[in-house]
This record gives sequence, C-alpha cells and structure tokens, in this order.
Amino acid sequence: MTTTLDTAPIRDAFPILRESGAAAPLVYLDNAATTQKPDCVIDAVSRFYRRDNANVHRGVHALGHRATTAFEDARQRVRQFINAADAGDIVFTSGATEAINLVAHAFAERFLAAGDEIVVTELAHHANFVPWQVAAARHGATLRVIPATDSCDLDLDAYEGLLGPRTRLVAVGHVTNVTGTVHDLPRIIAAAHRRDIPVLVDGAQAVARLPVDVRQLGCDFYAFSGHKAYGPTGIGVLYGTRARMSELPPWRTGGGMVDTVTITDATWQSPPHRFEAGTPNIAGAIGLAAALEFLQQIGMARVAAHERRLLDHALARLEPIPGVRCIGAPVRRTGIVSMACDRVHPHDLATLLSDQGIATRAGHHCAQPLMRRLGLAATLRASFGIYNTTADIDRLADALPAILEVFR
Amino acid sequence: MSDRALYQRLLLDHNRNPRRRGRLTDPTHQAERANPLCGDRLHLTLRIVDGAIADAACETTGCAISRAAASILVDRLPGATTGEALEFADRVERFCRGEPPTASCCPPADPDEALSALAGVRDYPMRIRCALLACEALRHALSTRPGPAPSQKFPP
Repeated sequence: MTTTLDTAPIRDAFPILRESGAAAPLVYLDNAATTQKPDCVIDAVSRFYRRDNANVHRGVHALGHRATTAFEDARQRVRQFINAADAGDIVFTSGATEAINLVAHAFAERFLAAGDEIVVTELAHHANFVPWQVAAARHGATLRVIPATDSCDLDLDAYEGLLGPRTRLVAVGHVTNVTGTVHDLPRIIAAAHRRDIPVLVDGAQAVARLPVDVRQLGCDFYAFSGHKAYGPTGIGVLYGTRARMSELPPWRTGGGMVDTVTITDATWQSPPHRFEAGTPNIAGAIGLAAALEFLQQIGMARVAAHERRLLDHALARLEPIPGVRCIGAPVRRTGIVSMACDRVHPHDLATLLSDQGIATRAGHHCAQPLMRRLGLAATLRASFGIYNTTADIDRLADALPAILEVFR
Repeated sequence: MSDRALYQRLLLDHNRNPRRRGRLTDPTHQAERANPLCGDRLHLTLRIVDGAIADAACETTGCAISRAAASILVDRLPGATTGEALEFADRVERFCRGEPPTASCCPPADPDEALSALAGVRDYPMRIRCALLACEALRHALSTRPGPAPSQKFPP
C-alpha cells in the first residue's frame, strides 16, 4: 500500500510556489505543458556552471573529468529511473520531440520503403504524429491511424486489424496529453511484437505521473522530456534497446559521434554517442538527474496515487458545473482533464482564470487530429503535478461558474 | 468594470452579436486566416466596386476577442475606400498594441468609441494575436487579386 503524499514539504521545495504570496497563492494547473522546478534542480544546474563547467568526453583536465562524470552519472540515473538494462540505452536529446524525430528519421532511412506502413494514433500529440507523417511522405510509405473511441481510448480491436506485413513500426503514446488516457501498452506492444514490429512509446506525459519500467513494458523505444518531469527545458531522453539502436544510422553528424574520420569517409561510434553529435546539454542532463532523484525520493507509486486522487476530485467538482463538459471517459487515466464549455471559448476562460492566479491551458494541445475527432476547436485543460492539492482544484471549480456567467 | 477590463460590455456585445456575420455570396475579394495557437479561424469576404468597399462580411469561429475585433473591423468597412480600410486596420493594430495613432490614421483628439471595446487587450499581450486576426485577413484580402480565397497553409 502506498501512503498518501504530503504536499506541504513538496510545495515548499518549489520557489515559484513558495514565493507566490500567501494572499493569492499560485494555482498552477498547466503541468502537462511544463512543470515547475524544485530547488534541487535549479541548484544542480547552477552548481554545475559555478563549479564543474567543462565540455564532456574531451578535456583531460580536472574540470573535464568532473563534467564528464556528472553527465554520465545523469545517464545512469535515467537508466535506473526507467529501469533500462544499460546506461548505453539512454540517449540525451533536447526533448521528447527530438527523440521521436531522431527515430522517425533514422529508422525511416534504414527501414522504410515505398508501400510500407507506420501505425500511429488519433490520440497522439503532434510530436508523435507529424514526424511520422513527414517520414512516410519522404519514403512513399503510408500512415495507418488507430482510431479513438468516444471515451477517448484507443480502439485496440481496430489496431490489431491495422497490423500487416507492410507495418514497419508502431508509434503510440503512454499517456494522452488531452484526456490523461493511460494506454494499454502491454496489449499494444504484444500485438506488434507477435509480428516482430518495433514499438515507440511517447512517454512525455507519463514519466512524471506513473512508474515507468521500460523492460517490463518491453517497448523498443521510449521518449520523454525533462521539463515535464520537474527538470530543465532543453533536455530529454530517447531510450532504445541496444538491438534496435545499433541498427540505426546517425541522425545528426559532427563531433563526438565518430570513430575515425578521413577526407573521404567516417565511421560511427556505438549508441548512445552515435546519436549525440555536438556538445550536449550537460547542465540540462544534470538538472534532469536531480529531478528524477527528487521524484524517486517521493516514490512514483505515491505520485501516481496522488495524481489519481486529484483527477477524481477534479471530475467530481467540475462535472456538476452547468455548461461544463469533461471530455472523454477513458478506462484508465491519470491527472489530466479537458473541458468544453457551452458558448465560451476556452481562451477566454483561461484568460479570466489567469486574472485570479489560476494557470490552465486553452487550445488544441498540439492534438488537432483528436480535436477534429471530438468536433472541438479547443478545450480548457487542467493538468496536475506533485505539488497540487484538492484546494487548487477547488479554486478552479469555484472560479468557473462566475466566469461562465460573464459570457451568458 | 473599468474601461481597461478585457471583457467589457461592448466587447461582449460584439461577441454575442457579431455585426455583418457570414459570407457574401458575390465577393470580389476574400481571405481566410487562422490562429494556430488557439484555433481561431475567420473568413472575410468583400465586394469592392470602383475602389470602394460596397459590402463586407466575416465568419468567425473563435474566442470572444477575435470575434469582437472582427465585428468591429467589418462593421466599419462598407463605404470606405480600400485605402481607408487599410488605414483603419492600422489604427486598430496601433490601438491594441497601445501605440499612439499616426497622424494619417487617427487624430489623437478623436477617441474612437468602437475601438474602446478592445482597450483591455493592451494588458494581455498573449491575446493581441486574437484581436489582430481580422486586420491580417483584411490586408491579405486586399493584397490578393479577386477570386476564390487562398487558404492559409500551415506546416502539416
């Protein structure tokens, strides 16, 4: 059994919450866009620049050694956090978007031919949709789209019918950024693997909400961003099994990813360095490691239970508000809820909520195929994090009726 | 509400009852514009006869700011020359950005009641794009040759 999460000390670790003022404390409900940063992350980044700054894998001087050690320790921390087999399976990228683009580009170059198919989902963020659309167009391949159901789950019977002899890869999300749907990855991955089709999982909304074990999932690739997991922006992770990553050609070329370069030719390093051309975001990786350690100290099982409790409270408070409709009713979900409101555009709601110190997100959430499926141009989204409380959700629920009244 | 409040009465009225809403059946000029940030989308149709706007209409789906701004703009167009219409669009834009009007487009001593509905936008820089979408569409419509609307293409 997991004990409940005590938010007071957690909130105290985040300067932006601590310093927002007791009179009108910040209610930050835009965690699916990016999370706030705890002291330990800000300090780790600052400490690196103050004390250890040097390039990695290059200098033989003491600073170079310290920087390289800290950077590779960060890789180990990521490995441990998602339970990868080896630190070599962890590639640092600028974020989930770059991680997916890396695979879309390199995998397509190596394996995609005219007439082949890639399976994506109607519930995808554009980051796990558009790279495949572009790769398919470039190689004459076709996208096959797993449809969303009215509950905002994936239609997995339809999915199994989409898999065929020309399917080269399946790209799915772990948690949908609009509705918080937790996809049935065991079933999705098992169906693909029966045909030896690799699966890429976009975990951007999952790593900071659910315990993630990539070996238990058995996925071939797993991508996520640091900044949605309480870490810095500009750092992210691509996990790939050694077997899959070794097959891929480099995506970007330059320093740090080659073995030997002659006037006419070059040979590549093994993963992960093959995919880390140029100077990486060293401070970002170190900051991400601090964020993941912070999450581990809380315990991801407790984080997941907390997210679920906040979601249940949000649904109980928001659904009864006249004129508010919560989108979807997924079978399994975590701390994200989207709303449509009668006759009021979500941007206007979000602006007036902001006037009361409540940060939400309005828009299509980079999921236009899903919005089209739902027949909506935009929704208002509240997404939760470790520092949120039921009181935050009450502030949102209490503010909405009066705001809706403005537009009557 | 103060006159700088974003959602003041006049703006809400334009939002609820947009003037000249819809599409002309016989436009000579038209443009479609979308704001990919929030999904605002509007379609402006104009009928221009001898350099003057004989009729105008706008179909808007989006937030209150974009709907009201489009309503205010399109309501002003009939009877204006194309030059005057563009001047008014510049005036709307300068007003929303909180910049002083230029001599050519607005004498400073001439407070514009219609524009006052948009005064609050100045305090919400994230929403200026919503307010200016209709101006963008007008400039685009007048810069194109008569014919069917070229739709704005965003990256896929």
